Amino acid sequence: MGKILMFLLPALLIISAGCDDSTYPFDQVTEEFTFTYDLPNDGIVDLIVLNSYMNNVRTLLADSTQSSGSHSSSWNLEDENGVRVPDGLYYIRIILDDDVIETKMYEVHK
Amino acid sequence: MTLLMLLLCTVGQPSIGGNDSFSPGFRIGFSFMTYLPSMQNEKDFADMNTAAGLDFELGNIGWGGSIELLGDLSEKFRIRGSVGGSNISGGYVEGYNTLQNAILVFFTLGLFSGSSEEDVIRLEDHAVTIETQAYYVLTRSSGISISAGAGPIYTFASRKLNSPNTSTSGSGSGLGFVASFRLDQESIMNLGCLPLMFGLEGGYRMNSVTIDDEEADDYELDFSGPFWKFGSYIGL
Repeated sequence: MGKILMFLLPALLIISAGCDDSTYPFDQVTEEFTFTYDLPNDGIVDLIVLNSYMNNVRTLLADSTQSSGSHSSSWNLEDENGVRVPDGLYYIRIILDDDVIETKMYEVHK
Repeated sequence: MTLLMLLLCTVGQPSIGGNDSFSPGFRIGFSFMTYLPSMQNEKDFADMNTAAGLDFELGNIGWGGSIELLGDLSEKFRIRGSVGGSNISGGYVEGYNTLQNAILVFFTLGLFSGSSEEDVIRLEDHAVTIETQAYYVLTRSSGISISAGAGPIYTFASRKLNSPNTSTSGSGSGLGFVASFRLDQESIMNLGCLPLMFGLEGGYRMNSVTIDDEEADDYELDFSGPFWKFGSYIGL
């Protein structure tokens, strides 16, 4: 029994070591999604979507007065012209009173 | 390869009889280059990724190589033409299965080990440059020469960003300017039948490239910055 385990255990480890069990620190999205954000205080809020060239492709919220606490918004993966954005990495910046307080990253693909 | 190098070093010897009189000639060779590119946009991009929670590492030092042709027009003027490539990269690498790998290595006495790192986000900026430069020889002796020069540089650049399920790429080209000092060996080292010479160059180049793609919206790859080159040449 011991000898079997001596051969079996390394074999299982070889197989499982090749498996990717990582979880990326960003979400992978294929369709409209909702995200949440927390505001530390009341203020003017902007939500903008940037592509991997740091260009603004969509403004989700502009100059909106919001109170402190948790809020949510959604993005349908479309740019300002209503066209679905190309696959790639996108970043949503939550801006409170002209300061970026949070950046969220998404991998958009079909 | 080592034996070949030893043979070349054994055979290698300076040519007998230094010649103080100038004789125009050409030399062709390969040079290795390191440089400190500005890449402000890429640095901002790396910062944005870091703000999004990724430990995004962007290399500060670029490297590359070029094939060069140097020619003496007169005792005081020298020209250089080169075609080269350079690269700067970065990304987010994720480690995983560290404990599992350690156990695997232990049980198999090091014969097997699983991959412990994965490129999750990979950014690659490549540049192919065509340079022409004219130099004024400040001083020349039988052994070395020091020259200062400047000239245009044309850069073809590309940017590629890979993530687990996507790949974004763009390219462009642009004209720039390079200015530098050169230190060249003037006495020939005969390595076997090869008349070999070495050269050092340091300077600054200004070559930024705008990515043409619509999505990029004038995103600029700025390869500008100080550079250092070391080259070995064969006299023609």
